Amino acid sequence: MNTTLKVLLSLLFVILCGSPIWYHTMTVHQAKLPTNKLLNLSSSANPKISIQIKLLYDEEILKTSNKESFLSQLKKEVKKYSKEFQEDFLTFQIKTHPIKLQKDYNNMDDPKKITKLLQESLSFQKEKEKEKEKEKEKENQGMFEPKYTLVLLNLPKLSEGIYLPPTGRLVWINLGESTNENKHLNNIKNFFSIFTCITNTTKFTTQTDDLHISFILLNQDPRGRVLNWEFEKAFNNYLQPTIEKLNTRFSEITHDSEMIAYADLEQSRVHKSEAINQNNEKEVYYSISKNTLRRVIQIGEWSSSIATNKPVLRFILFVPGKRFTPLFINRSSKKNRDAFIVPGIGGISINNLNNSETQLLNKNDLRRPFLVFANQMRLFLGIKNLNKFIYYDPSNIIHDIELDMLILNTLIKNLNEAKHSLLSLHTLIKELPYMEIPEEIRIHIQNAINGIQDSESYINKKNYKSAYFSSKRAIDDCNRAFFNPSISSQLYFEMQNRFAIYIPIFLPMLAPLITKLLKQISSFLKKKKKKKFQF
Amino acid sequence: MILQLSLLLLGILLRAVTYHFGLTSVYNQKFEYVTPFTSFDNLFEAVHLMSHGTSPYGGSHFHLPPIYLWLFRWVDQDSFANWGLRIIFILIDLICCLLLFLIIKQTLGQQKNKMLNPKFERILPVAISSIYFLNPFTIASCLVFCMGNFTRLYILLSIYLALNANLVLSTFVLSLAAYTEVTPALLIIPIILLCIKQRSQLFKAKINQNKSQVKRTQEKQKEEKKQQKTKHKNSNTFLQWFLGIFLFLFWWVLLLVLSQLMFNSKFSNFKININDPNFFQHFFSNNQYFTFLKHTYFFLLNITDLTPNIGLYWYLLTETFVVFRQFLVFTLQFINVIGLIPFTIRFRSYPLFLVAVITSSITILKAYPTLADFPFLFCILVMQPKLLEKTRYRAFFIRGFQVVIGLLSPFYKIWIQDGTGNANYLFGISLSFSFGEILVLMEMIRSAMIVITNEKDKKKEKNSLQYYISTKKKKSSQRKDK
Repeated sequence: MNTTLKVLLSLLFVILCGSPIWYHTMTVHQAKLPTNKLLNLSSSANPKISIQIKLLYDEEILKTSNKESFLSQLKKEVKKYSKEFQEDFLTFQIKTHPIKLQKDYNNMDDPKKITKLLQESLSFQKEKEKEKEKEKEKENQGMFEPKYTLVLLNLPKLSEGIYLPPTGRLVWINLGESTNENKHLNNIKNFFSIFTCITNTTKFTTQTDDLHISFILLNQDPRGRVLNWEFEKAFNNYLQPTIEKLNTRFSEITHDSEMIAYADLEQSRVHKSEAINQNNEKEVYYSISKNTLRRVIQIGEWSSSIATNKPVLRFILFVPGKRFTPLFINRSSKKNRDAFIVPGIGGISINNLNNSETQLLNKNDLRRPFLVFANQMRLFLGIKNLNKFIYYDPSNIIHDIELDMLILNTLIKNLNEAKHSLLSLHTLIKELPYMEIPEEIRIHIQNAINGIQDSESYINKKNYKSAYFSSKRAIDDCNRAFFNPSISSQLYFEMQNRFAIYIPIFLPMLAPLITKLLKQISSFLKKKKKKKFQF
Repeated sequence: MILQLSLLLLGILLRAVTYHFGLTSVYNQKFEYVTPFTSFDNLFEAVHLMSHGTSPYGGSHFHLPPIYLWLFRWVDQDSFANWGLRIIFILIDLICCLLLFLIIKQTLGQQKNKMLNPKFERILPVAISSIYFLNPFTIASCLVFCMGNFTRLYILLSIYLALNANLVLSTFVLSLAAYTEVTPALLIIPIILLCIKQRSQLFKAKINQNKSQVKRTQEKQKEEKKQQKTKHKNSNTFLQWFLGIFLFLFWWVLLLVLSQLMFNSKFSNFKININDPNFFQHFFSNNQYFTFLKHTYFFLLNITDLTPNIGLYWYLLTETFVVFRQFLVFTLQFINVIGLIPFTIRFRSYPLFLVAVITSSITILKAYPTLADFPFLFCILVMQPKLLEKTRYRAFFIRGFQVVIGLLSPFYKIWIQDGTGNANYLFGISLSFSFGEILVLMEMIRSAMIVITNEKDKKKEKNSLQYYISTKKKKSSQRKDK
C-alpha cells in the first residue's frame, strides 16, 4: 500500500470517527409538546357567561296609561332584549319582579339619597343577611357575580335617564313624568346598551391592560408666569377611587406627574376670532387645529422620564400663554372644544386661565381637566363614551357594571387569543419539522394550557376574577412562547440553507480527497489490467 | 560569536528601552497582542480576586490554569513597573531565541539537511534566531507580558529535548504546553516520533564513530551483532511509543491534580481526606472538583469569548445561527485533528518537519491568536532551512504580509473607534492574513514534498545502481569461475 493510499484511508477513517459527533451537533432538539391537549383546547368552545338581571318595579309608583298592558309588553320586550344584546359568550337572564318600596320617592331630587333608600328598602326584600355579608366580602376581594338589579321609578323632580350609583350593581331608571309606554320601553332599552359598552377602537393598547399614566402640566409661556398645580389633591379626589378599583380588579395602573415649560406657539398657526358671550359682549378667542397643537406639543416623540416596562399613557394639561388665552380646538360642530385624544399616545386638554395672574392651579381649578382625563381614560381602556342619558357619580367615572363588562370581555378575548395563538404555534411547529423547540417554550405552552383550563373551570364556578387573572397569565405565556427569540430567527431560515454551512467547510476538504481517491482507484484498475495482459 | 552576542544584547536593550519609556500601556490597548486568553491584566485581576477570597474564575476574564496564579501570586498594581516581571519575560524570549539557534544548528549538522550554499549554514542559525528575537511583534508581546510566550517556550524546549532524544523531559515540557493551552497536545505524536528517530540516529552515529581497525571476520561478527541489536532496538519502538504517551498523560494529569489541590484548598469548603474510605467516590462526585477546566479548556475549545482579534473564529461564530454553533465549533477545532494522522504518515521519516507542520497548523487555527505567533510560525517552519531553497513567491509573501499587517490596526480603528467601518473590514484583513499563513505552510509542504521525492528518486537510483553493480559482479565472478 503506497503512502498516498494510506493518507487517504487515514483521512477517511478520521472523518468517519468524527461523523457521530457531527450528527450529534446537528440533531435538532425538539421538546415534546402537549399536542393533544393543545388541539382539544383550541377546538373547544368558550364557556358561556350568564348575566342575571332583575327588573324591579313598584306598581304604586309606576306611571303608565295601562299598567297591565305595559307590564305584559315589558315582559315581551325583555325577552327580545335578551336575544338582541346577546354576544358570543354572554347570555342574559332577565326577570321582572314587583316590589313594594316603603318610602315616598315622588318628592325626592337627590340621586344619592334615592340610591341609599333603595338599597335599604331592597335589603328588606332579601331574607338572608349572611348572603349579603358574603357578597360584600367578595366585593372587597374583587370577586363579583354578574347579577344586576334595575329599579323602575317615576320621579318628577329629576331628569329622565339611567342613574348609576357610585358602587354596587343596583341601577335605577327615572322614567319621568311621562306616561308614554313606548318612551319607557326605550329608556329601559338604553339601560341594556351598558352591556355593550366595550370597544377596541379607542383602546390604548391591545397587548396588555397594565399601564403607566403620566400627567403633564405643560406651560406654554413660562416667561409670562411660572405655574404649579396641586396634582396630588386633584388626583386623590377625582381619579384615585377609579384607579384603585381598576388596580384591585382589572390591571396594574401606576402614575406619575411632571411639569414642563415651553411649547412654541406661532402666531401664524393660531386663528383669532370674535364671539358674543352670554352677557352679549364681544369676546376675543383663539383657535388652533388639533393636528397643529399635536405637532407643537410633539407628544409622540417624548420618552418617558420614568423607567417602566409598561406602556405609557400621557395626559397633557396644556396651559396657553397670556397672548393666546382663551384657546380652543377647531371642530366641525358649533361648540369650541378644548380636549382631544391622540390614539395610542394620550390625551390633551387645554386649560384656559381666566385670571392671567394665576400661578397655582388648585384642586377646584383642576376639577374639569381631571374629569376630562377620566373620560379619556375610559376611552383608552376600551369603554365607550358617556351617554347623555346616563348619570354617573363624578368620583367614580367607571361604574361597576362597565368594569364587569370590561373584565368579562377581556377574559373571553384573552381566552380566544390564547387558544388561537396556541393553534398557530402548533401549525408553525408542524410546518417546520427542523425547528428547535427549547424546553422553555414547552414550559410556556404548558403554563398557557393550564391557565386556559383554570380560567374555564373558574368561569364554570362563576369566579370571574380568578378566571380573568388566569386568562391574563395564559395569554402572557402564549406570547412568550410564540415570540421566543429562538423561534423568530428560524422563521426566516430554512433548513435547506444548512447546506450553505456545509459546502464551504466540507467541499474544500473533500474535493482533493475524492480526486486523489479516484486517481488511486483508476491506477489500481490499470495495474490489474496490466497484470491480466501479462498473463 | 561576537555577532550573536551583540544581537542578543541589542534585543535585550530594545526590550529594556521600550519598558523604560512606558510603551506597555500603549501596546496593552492593541487587539493584535492582547486577547482574552493571553492578557496579563486578566491574570492580575484574578490574583487580586484570589487575594480577597473570591474565585479567580468568577469574573469570567481569567482563563489560564491555576498554577499560573500561584507563579504570579506576588503581582500587584505596580507590577507593570516591576523589573522582576520584565526580566522574566525577557528571559523567556532569550531562551526561545537560544533554543531556535541550537535547533537549527543541530538540524544543519545532519547530512541530509546540508544546504547547497555552505555559506548559509553559518549565517542561518543566527539569522533565524535573530528574526525571532529582534522581531517587533515578539518585542511587543514581551512588552505586554503576553502569556502566550510561555506556550511558545514550552514547544521550542520540547522540540530541542526531543532532538536530543530525551523522551522523559520532552514529554514533560510538552505536557506543560498542553496544560496551558490544550491544543499542543496534538504534538505528542510528532515529538515521540522525533525522539525515536533521533535515538536511532544517535545510535548509528555512535557506531560510525568507532574508528578502530577490526579484522574482516571480527568486523563481520560485530556487524551481525549490531544488526541484531538494531533489530532489538526496532522492536522497542512500540515500547517507546507506549512510554512516551504514558509519560505525557502522566505529567498532564499530575499537573491537573496539583492545580486542583492548590485551587481546592483556597476556594473550597470541602477538604480532601485521603483516609476517607469513599475517597474516589467523593472525589469524582463533588461538583467543585476540576471546575477550573470549564473556564480554561472548555473556554478555549468552545470559543466562548468573541472579542475581535486577528483570528477568524470570532466573526464566524458571531454570524452563525445558534443552531449551528455547536457544529461549527466542533468542525473548526476538528480541522487540526483531521490533519494529524495523514501528515504523520506522509512525513514520518521527517519528524522535525512534521513537528513544524503540526505546530504551524495549531498556531494558524488558534482561537485567540496574536501577532507574536507570526514570527514564531515562520521560525518553526524554517527549522529545516534546506526547504527554503525550494520555496517560491518569497517576495510576494513578504510584501503581502507587510500590507496585510499594516492594515490590521487601521481597519480595527475605523470600525471600533471611529465607527465609520464595520466588522467586515477587520475580518477581511484577518482572513487575508490567515490565508497568507496557510499559503506559506502549503509552500513549505510543497518544498518538503519535492525534497522527499528527490531523495526517493536518489534512493531508487542508488538501489538500481547497486543492483546493476551487484549483477555485474555476479556475472564477472561467474565468468571467472568458468
